[in-house]
Amino acid sequence: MRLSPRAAAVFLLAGLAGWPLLGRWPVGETVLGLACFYGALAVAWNLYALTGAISLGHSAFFGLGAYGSALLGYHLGWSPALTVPVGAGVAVCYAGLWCLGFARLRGVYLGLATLAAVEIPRVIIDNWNSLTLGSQGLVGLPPLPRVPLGPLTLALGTDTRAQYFLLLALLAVSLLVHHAALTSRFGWAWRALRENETAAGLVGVPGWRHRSLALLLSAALTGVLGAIYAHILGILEPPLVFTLHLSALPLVFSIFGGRYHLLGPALGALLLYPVDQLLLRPWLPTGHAAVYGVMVILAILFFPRGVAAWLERRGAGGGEPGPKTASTGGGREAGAPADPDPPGAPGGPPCLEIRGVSKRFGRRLVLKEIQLTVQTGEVLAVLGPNGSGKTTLFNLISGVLKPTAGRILLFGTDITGWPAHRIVHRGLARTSQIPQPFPEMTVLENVAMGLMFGSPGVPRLEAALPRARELLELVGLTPQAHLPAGELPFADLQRLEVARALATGPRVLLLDEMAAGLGPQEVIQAARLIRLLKRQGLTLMLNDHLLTLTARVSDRLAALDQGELLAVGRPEEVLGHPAVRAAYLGEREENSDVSAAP
Amino acid sequence: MSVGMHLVVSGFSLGSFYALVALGFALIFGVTHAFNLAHGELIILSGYLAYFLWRGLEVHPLATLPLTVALMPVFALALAQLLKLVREPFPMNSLVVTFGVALVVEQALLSAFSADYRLIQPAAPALMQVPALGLALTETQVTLLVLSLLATGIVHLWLTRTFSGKALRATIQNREAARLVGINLGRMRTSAFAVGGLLIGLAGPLYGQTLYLYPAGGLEATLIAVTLTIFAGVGRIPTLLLGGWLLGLAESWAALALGANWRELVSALLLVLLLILRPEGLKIRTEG
Repeated sequence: MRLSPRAAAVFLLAGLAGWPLLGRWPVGETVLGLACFYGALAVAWNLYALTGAISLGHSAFFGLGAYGSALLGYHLGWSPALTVPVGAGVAVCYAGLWCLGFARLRGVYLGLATLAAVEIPRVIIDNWNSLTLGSQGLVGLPPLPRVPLGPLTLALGTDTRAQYFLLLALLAVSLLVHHAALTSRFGWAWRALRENETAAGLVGVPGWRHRSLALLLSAALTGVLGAIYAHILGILEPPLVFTLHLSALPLVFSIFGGRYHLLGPALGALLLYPVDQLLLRPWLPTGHAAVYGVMVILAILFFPRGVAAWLERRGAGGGEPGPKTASTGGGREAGAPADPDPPGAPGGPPCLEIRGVSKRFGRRLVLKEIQLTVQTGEVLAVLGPNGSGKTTLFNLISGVLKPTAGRILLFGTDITGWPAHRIVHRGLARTSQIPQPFPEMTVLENVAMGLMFGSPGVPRLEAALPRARELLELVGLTPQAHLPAGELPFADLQRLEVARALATGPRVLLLDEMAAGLGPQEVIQAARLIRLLKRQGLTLMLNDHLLTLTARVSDRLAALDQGELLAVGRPEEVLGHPAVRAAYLGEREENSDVSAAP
Repeated sequence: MSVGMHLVVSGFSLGSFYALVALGFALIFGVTHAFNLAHGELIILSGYLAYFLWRGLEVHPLATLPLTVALMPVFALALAQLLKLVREPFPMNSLVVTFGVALVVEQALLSAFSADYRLIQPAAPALMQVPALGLALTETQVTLLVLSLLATGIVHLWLTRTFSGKALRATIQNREAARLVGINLGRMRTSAFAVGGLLIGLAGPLYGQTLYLYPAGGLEATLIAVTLTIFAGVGRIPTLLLGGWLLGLAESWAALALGANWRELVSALLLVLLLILRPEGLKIRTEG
């Protein structure tokens, strides 16, 4: 039997709701309720982890949520119904600071920053005695209110069974949020970001915005949970909330249960927490939390994808990986075909102007005041030996790097220093010399990312699939459509790059070293494709150190050598240019160290 | 002794000790590229061992050093074996694994020693006077200064003057190139963890005399080690000492001006600022 993740979640929640009605069980309501609570906490943590971030500091949001709510209740006597959202707001504000401050940090460095970032609110709250009573703690917080529910009244503050249903409801809500995050356009953007951030930018995903959104959502949910925790306990002091332990728990549950799965984080909490409480508490009155350390080590070493992934492989339910795998056709036709405007003849109005662009890496000047205009509808090839700065020029145009000096104009708009995704939305796409696939998505899904996040963009994956299939047909990758992109050989990855770039709906396409590693037959195919694209009205800019491809298809050549533009013009003019001959063919003695590319 | 002098003395002795705390971490990071989040917890463990010997068996605090120095490399090498099992992406996975190890050690200490704060206090805290400079140092401060500077000095000499030390430095600067010139990377890993373990063994008892031991206290030591490593880069001991002194002075100043409890904020705040202002700093420094 195979369960969809959604059905498995419904069964799980129904089972948990029915549990207390079954009479006395070894796992009581208190333990199971807390397991639900930690499940919700793990889901909250995982929302941020979906973008590829590992936070070691989520107890900061938990603690700020708790204090934000508890202080209002303690000093002003407000009801938790009013103060819990305020607590979440405080947590979100601190998360906003993370978004701004940690914008450039990734991976391990982000992890370290989050670890240190817990200490800041902790020490401040610990020392601000007049407001927080410091380490003395806040005692006698207002309990959770009584909620009338039809004929019943849920005394959330006193009745443990009512509390259990509250915690279960928190888990249900967090799973709903998780489900929405995983299956929506956001979920795909976050997945793209964690699988390959550079590629995500090149298909038009605004990275900072999406990472921030995930973090703010994650912090809000964590803050709510922290606030409710404080009101259930009735007391609050910094060591109760700002602890390594509370930062570790959601991480452990999520990794153990399976990040990227709908049920993974919750499953981790529901499995590990009761086991810890049942087995270890009697034997190890203190220090039993060591089990979480052991579990996360074992998970990372032996099943890094978590229990949910294992269950899924066993076909026993648990959930499919992340967003639903694209396998079904149908849905409405969507996606932008290449610009339908009549193709401009070569020599039309300029679409891309490069004005005095220079790039410096440390002390090395890689590009020197490049001056180049690309006309609408033409095919321009940038030619040059290895290390002449071709790829750097493409990186500057596409927003992967920022120029040290000079301006770049696209359709008359100054795009200098714009991030890659904005340039994509302006109608310029590129392929990369070293292919940048989303390795765990299928080939078809890779292309669909371009359609979803390029211009004009498509809201749902299913709506992007028909056009994605057409594009795969165009580059000849239809048989590989359902393979994970990480398994493709190099030449196929290059074709995938082209299909994905076209999917973003460009008017200008940059092809970076497309002929590298291609055999003679494949070069002919590539040339055919380029001519086809040109006929469809695309402006193309290629870059190569080989003439095999460029000579077949280019209207104009631009010759680069050691960061300088030697000549621009019709192919025969440029190839006949003395400076070009000297640089590429070593015709002058003093240039003998400048070798033409292999 | 004036307040200013007091600040300088405590800042320098604390700072030298911080350099010692960071040195083992930096060596292990340099060779394996693993941020060992269990570093601080291992120092605390070593401190508790010394505390146990001092309190239970009435061993003189300094006399506990041979045992901890002999024992901690065993733990460090066990950690090295564990990290061998970590698969790609190694930096992220090793971070999570050492985070798990830190949790295990913390919880083990909690069940063995309870959550109470403990301090190793020599029987008579003698003051040493240096009348010429108008200085007065406690015995602990003298011990901290002498042993920390001695240890960092020896490691510095080892890295710059000996064949094996130079091989380790080469490995830190470029692992691939080091392998190509015939350096045995496995042996370099082992020596980095062994020396790291020795330094942890030395730092533990000193930590127990200077700052309070408590099971969760390792986080603070880890943060100090991470901060100084990112400030100084790897294998650059003079810069590490400089960073340690700056941090020690900043903490002493914060404790004096704002109150002792604010001291804990300094290293965390500095780490966050360092990461925000120069996230690529470490990469450049290790290659430089």
